Amino acid sequence: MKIPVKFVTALAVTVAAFVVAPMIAADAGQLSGRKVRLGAMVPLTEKGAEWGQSSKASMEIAAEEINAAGGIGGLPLEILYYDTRAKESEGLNIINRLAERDKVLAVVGPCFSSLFEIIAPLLDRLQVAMISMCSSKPGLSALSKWALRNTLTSDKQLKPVVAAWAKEYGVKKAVIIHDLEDAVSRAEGSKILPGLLKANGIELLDVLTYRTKDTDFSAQITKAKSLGAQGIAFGSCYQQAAAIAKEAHKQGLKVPMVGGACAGAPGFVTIGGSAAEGAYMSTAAWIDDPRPKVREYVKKIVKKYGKKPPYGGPRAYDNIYALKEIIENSGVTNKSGDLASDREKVRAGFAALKGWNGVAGEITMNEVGDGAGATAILKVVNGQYTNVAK
Amino acid sequence: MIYQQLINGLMLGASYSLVAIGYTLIFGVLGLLYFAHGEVFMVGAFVGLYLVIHAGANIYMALLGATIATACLGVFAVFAAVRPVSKDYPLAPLISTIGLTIVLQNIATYIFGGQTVAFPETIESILFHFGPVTISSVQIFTLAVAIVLMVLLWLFIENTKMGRAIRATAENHETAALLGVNVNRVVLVTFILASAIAGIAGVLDGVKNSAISPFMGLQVAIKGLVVMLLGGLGNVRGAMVAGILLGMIEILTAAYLGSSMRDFFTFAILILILLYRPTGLFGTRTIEER
Repeated sequence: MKIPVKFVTALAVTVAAFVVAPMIAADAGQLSGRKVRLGAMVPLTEKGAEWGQSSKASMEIAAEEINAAGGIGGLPLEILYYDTRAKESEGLNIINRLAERDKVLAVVGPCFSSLFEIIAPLLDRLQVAMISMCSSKPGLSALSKWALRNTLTSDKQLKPVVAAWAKEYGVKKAVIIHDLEDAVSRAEGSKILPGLLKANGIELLDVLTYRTKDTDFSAQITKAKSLGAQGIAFGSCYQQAAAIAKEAHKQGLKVPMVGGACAGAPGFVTIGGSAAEGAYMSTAAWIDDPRPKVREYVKKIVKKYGKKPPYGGPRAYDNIYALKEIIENSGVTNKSGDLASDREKVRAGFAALKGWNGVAGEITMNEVGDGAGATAILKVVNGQYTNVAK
Repeated sequence: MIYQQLINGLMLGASYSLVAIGYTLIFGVLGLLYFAHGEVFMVGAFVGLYLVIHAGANIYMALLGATIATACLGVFAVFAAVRPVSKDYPLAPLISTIGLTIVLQNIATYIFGGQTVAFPETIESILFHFGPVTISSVQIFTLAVAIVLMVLLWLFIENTKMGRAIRATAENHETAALLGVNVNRVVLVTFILASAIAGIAGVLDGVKNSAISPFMGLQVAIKGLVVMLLGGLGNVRGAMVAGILLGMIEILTAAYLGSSMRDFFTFAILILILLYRPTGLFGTRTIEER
């Protein structure tokens, strides 16, 4: 029997592709396999979409840069993005999928504390590191050793901001308006802000609430006005905070406002317009930092995303670069049989970051798995966030 | 504070009324729960927004543009999701309009992005003080448009030939057809009317709340349904009054009992109505048939 030449050639090529190519790839770095896979869960639609979209754009920039410079350990980096729609049920599906079907080395996200809080306890079973770039409700990273957050918790972010706000405007009586359903907003509104107002000698007149899907805030503002509020403190995401600010202006309640983690996104200014003017917001990354690294990042993200991101953007960008370094230097093999030990190495590496120089500042993870880094006191001046921290 | 809160309730209620009128018109004529109505409201808001931002339209042009666009959407809905679906299966048109809801929402998310966007100031905000109550020019405008619209609709239904045909069809399809009413045309006109009103309501909502999102439809749809049930199925006047009533209840609950109780009262009242007065507060027009 004569074997056709074409068949032999095809066979040879196939064998070469399966046997030789991975060897070449393996020679280029110490990693095996065809690519390095990370997962990302971000809210791209509905509540807080600006946080998710800018985080995704930042991670894409990081991945493009890394791949253009030769990838991670010689392999291309692939990030799988999923839209959480900031829904708890969606988040649970996604983390299971990323951990068990997509077999990623680590997961970046989710943005919202509401999601982080319910997923974190599952991580001990799934055994994969979940590294958020925005979640800031205090206490959540302690839920599992696999639950990590490259952010400053909201209490730490807000402390200097409320003090500066109270000092500038001389507020004596204020109301808090917060979201009942969003985890970090609720923590801010019911625990963090009352304490901070008291510490700054401000009388808390009332704590008013709303639900995430509400669009009409007239009742709350009328009440705040009748109580004689001289200031409004938000435990709220940017969309609702902006709508509340506008409603306050419509009712003639033009008082200074202050807000925390989720409110301080650029969307607060774009939606709020003139009603946002003069408001103080906290942040976990100073986007107008003059350091060249930050300038460079801002230039790229503005080009890709169209505007400046909230702090989740730079933190997500940092997460990808930090993961690259950890994967390359902690003995990760990327073999499918080593997935469990690789994931543990990545987790341990991230939890041990100390003084890692990122766009969001020097990142040091503390004992429970929360990060540190640059903060700023943002004030809306002429439709722009300005850092007024000394 | 109570007077100011009642004004707030009136404002919120007026927008509920406008949406519920559309629901109840369509239910009256077709006996159909038109699920996509909330999305029509959302499309109206976005058309208004785009006209203001990209075409530099003023509020009147925005309202007109939204009316035309949503009226067309109404025609489209009839030909795409209502007329081709067999009436032999009572659930089929409901399912097909649910499908339309999902399609519209996905298209909107794709075109407009999944974000809340600001609705620009199209009316200069001036505050008027009447004793303890403060009313803004925006509130006066939105309320005036809503009231004018309701009065016009009422006159149309009571006094025109088409209005009479709509009432006849609502009472009994077959009899109306036998007496020479072109039922297909009545259905089409009803959809156009209902959708146009929802479109205007969408723009007014954008003006009132200063922000809109592609996901605003569902909330409004649910509230519209509640109002329709409160007012009596197919009862246009009932929908007008029940909308205002629901707005007042919601605002007063939020103001005096807290936001967590807002829906509790709405739906508790709904359950009570369904239990003790299933025809709604103001009776249903189509009671004998259904």
